[in-house]
Amino acid sequence: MMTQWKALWTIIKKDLLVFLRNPSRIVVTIVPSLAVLLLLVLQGAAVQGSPVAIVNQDKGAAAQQLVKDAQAYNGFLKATVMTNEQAQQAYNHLKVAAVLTIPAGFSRELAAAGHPTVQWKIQNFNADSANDLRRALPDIVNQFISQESDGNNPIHVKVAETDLHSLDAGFVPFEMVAVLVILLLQASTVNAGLAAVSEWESGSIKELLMSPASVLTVILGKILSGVFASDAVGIITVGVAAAGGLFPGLSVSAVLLSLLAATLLSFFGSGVGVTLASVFRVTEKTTLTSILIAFYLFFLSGGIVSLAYLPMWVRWVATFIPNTYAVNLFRNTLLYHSSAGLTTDLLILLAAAAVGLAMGLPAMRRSLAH
Amino acid sequence: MSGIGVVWAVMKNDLRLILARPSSTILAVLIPVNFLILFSLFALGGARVPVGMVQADSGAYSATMVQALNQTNTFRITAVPSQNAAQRLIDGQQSVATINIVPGFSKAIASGADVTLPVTIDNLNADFANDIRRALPLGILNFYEKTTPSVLPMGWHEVDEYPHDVSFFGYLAVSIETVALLLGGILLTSRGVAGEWEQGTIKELKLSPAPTWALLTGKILTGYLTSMVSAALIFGILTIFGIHPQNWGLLIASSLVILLIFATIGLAVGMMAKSQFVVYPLVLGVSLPLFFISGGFGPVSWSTPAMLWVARVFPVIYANTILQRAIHGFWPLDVGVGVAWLVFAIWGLAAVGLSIWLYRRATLAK
Repeated sequence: MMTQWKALWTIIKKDLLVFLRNPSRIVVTIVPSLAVLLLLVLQGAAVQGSPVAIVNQDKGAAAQQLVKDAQAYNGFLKATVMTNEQAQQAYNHLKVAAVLTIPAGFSRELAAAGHPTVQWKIQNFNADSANDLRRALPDIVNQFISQESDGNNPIHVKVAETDLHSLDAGFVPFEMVAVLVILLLQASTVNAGLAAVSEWESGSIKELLMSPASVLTVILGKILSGVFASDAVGIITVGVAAAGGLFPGLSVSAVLLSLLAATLLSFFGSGVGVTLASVFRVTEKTTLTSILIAFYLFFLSGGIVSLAYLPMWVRWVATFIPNTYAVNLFRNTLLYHSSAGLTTDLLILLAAAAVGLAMGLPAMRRSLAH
Repeated sequence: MSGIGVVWAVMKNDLRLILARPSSTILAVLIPVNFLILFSLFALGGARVPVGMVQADSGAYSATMVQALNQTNTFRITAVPSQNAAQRLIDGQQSVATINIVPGFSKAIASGADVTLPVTIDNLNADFANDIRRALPLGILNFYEKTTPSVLPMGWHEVDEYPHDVSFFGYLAVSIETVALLLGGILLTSRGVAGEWEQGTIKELKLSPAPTWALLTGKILTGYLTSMVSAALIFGILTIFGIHPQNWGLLIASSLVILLIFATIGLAVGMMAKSQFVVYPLVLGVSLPLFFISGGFGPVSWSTPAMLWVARVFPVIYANTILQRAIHGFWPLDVGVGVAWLVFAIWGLAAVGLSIWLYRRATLAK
């Protein structure tokens, strides 16, 4: 028994050393996650909105107030006051997405109940960005009307908002969780698969089979090396993200829960990787198929959006994919500091880990027997 | 053997190898196609926010309020009979918010009294939640425009640059296509190159009298031809999804040139990686960040200066812009076509130069 534990540890150590001594393998395992993190950080500010220009042709107080409201609006990346010529040039050269023009006489007409109109010129490249702009101006106008009415607001419909989470999660941390899950799965599937397939390709499978290590020990060693590699990716990624302030208020229990979830998901991924290695026994096919599977599981579990936005059939498929529950657990734990659905998520991930082992163990055992 | 003869011999050899490993080749050709299909799932989700609506008031103003909210082009509304049913939609991840039109809504509006619209938001992230928060004032103003426009002290007049909006999917599909072409060009070229290193046949190539330019050109052309198969599949799928280019000639011509540039980059990647198992995960792993900087959601010039600076370095954004022109007829970039081709030329020449340098400095020792 002791021999088997020793053999298991030797196999894991050897595969991890091969991993660590191969800079290119480390790069391909870790660089994609860091690249995505960097770009999400760069993109995050832009999700706030687009830059707009304001042309104020009126000198009255009401116009000044409208300008202030537009500049203070948090739905624009920035709102800059410009002359008409400057605004037109910025618009034509795509430096701004829209131009708000307040005509001369606006304040006077407003005071005289003349129903003045402002112009909102927008670059409607696509419905998504255009609708963001179309929502922005009425939001500003609504606020402006409320301020200018001196307690006599003509708009009697008020919104009473209740949020289900105490804080909105930022765009970057929200997306980062989904990306973390795909990277965990990719790292475990690819590394476990490569750890297994390299034995066939190099012929060292014979030495393994002739060693006192049992077949079960050999297979578990391959699976666990994938799990450890994947956990390393997870720890580094979350560590960098947390150091960058993406997961504020992170507690020790949240970190441990996340590590547990990552490990369970990695067992699933490693099981898949070892299965593919046993079937194909060739690096190229094993790697390609592992990556494809990781991508499919990522997108069919909702990808980088909430499942509610996706077609019904995708939501149905997502209920069978372990990524869905991993993403849910990570978001609740790392972002919302909530334990909602924790038991369900952990149980499903545990079942997924069991499925991974149930696939990988017999597949590799059969391959080793031949 | 002349240089052209070497190019032809290299291509013939590589194409035979490709045909000898059909399953691996098919998998590699299908990766960009799979990328397209999967990312399209994200795009097909669309920009509309799924919400539950509890309409507890049966008056005329209530119906007008629902219409007004629909006209914000923000919500995908599912009517539900009660708050509990609405919460079940949220719990089942079928909606992210509930809007309540309370009993007595119409009566309150008719009498000029204040009335509240309770909204429950599953504020998963600030971006999704703010779409809802910002659409509600638009819905309310739309309501007053329909019912009592005279109470609104001011209005606005919208002027659109283009006669119609391209759909979220239609716009995003171009960026997905660009990255899929990138994947195809780089993967299918680099695997052929990396394979020479893995199998050790690079030694025979180096010992042969074949000129370096001919060997590398043969490699590029093999990857280029193979990736055309991927590109054709991608165009076919996009056509099935309803994307019909305004200018087929520009689309095909520019895609061929863009694919060639990506194939030369693939040559350099293969020369550097020297291993297929490095190439595949690395290229696929950077596909996500490349997608984000390709201008998939809107002009990158509307983004932060840091993002713009990073995006401008890579050829992806220029490729995306040229394809946007071919498909939708607009140019969502703040620099002209000359700059785009200059960047392509720089990347192509740099990739070839790097490949030649790596090939020449490689020794015959492993």
